Amino acid sequence: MPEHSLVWQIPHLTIQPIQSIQSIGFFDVKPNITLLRRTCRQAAALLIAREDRVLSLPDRIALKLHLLACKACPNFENQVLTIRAAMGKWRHYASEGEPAAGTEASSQAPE
Amino acid sequence: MPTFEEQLVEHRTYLIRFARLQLRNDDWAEDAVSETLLAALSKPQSFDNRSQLKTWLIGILKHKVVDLIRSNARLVTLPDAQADEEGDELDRLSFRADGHFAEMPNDWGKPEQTLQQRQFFEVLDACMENLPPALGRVFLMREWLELSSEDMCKELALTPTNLYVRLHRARLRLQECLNIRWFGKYRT
Repeated sequence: MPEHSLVWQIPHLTIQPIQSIQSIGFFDVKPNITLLRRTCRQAAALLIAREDRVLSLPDRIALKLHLLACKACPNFENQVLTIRAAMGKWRHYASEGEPAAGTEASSQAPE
Repeated sequence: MPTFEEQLVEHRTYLIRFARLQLRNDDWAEDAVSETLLAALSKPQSFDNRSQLKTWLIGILKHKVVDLIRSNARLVTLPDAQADEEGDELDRLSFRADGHFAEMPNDWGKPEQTLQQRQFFEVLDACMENLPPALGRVFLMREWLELSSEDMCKELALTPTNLYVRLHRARLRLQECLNIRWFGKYRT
């Protein structure tokens, strides 16, 4: 198994379906861990989406669980967060005219 | 002591650069900057330093740019061939059939270290310029003009889904570009 493949090791969250609740009707209320399982592909999509919109609660929980269990996605998250921080600094430069990095006069300021 | 006019002209190149990055159209960018300088001339003010004048000018420029986007909304969102590719942008990252990353995403290290490097921001600028125009515009509207999703949808007549797809694509492209042009050199 490759080093970075996702392994689910969160036993306390393995919830047994409660058979009797099925009688409630057409809502499937069986708690099911697979509802919270996300592939790396889905997790990457959520990490990107999180930059522009508020994720739903189930997505937030699922993402958090995925990041705890996955070795690859935290790297991806770090990429997204680095860009977030970089854009914050860039925005400051592009709105206030302050150099984005370095204390000396930046070569980015053309004048 | 330079006159107010002379001080304004000094900042022209700086303003043009952001107008171009946002509008992706040299004529619009020239218009936005000319209107900004005219507006500034019509209400001369004195500032303690260059930086304050710059901040004031950028504030005016942002308004002029939004006006231009508003009056050209249809053209602004016109998808270009590059941005209009069918399919999921995520496929540019490689995933295995079971949804795992086919390759470990690059470790970008500590953001604070990256952000101290002036050259990183030069690469970031280049990567933003490299975004296809339709994607670059929405990305900059979010990151530079700091418009809300609601306002962007309204100004551009886009559905929220459409807007998020574009932002999503822009972000992945930017990340890909930084991976190649900056973080690639750390790759083993």
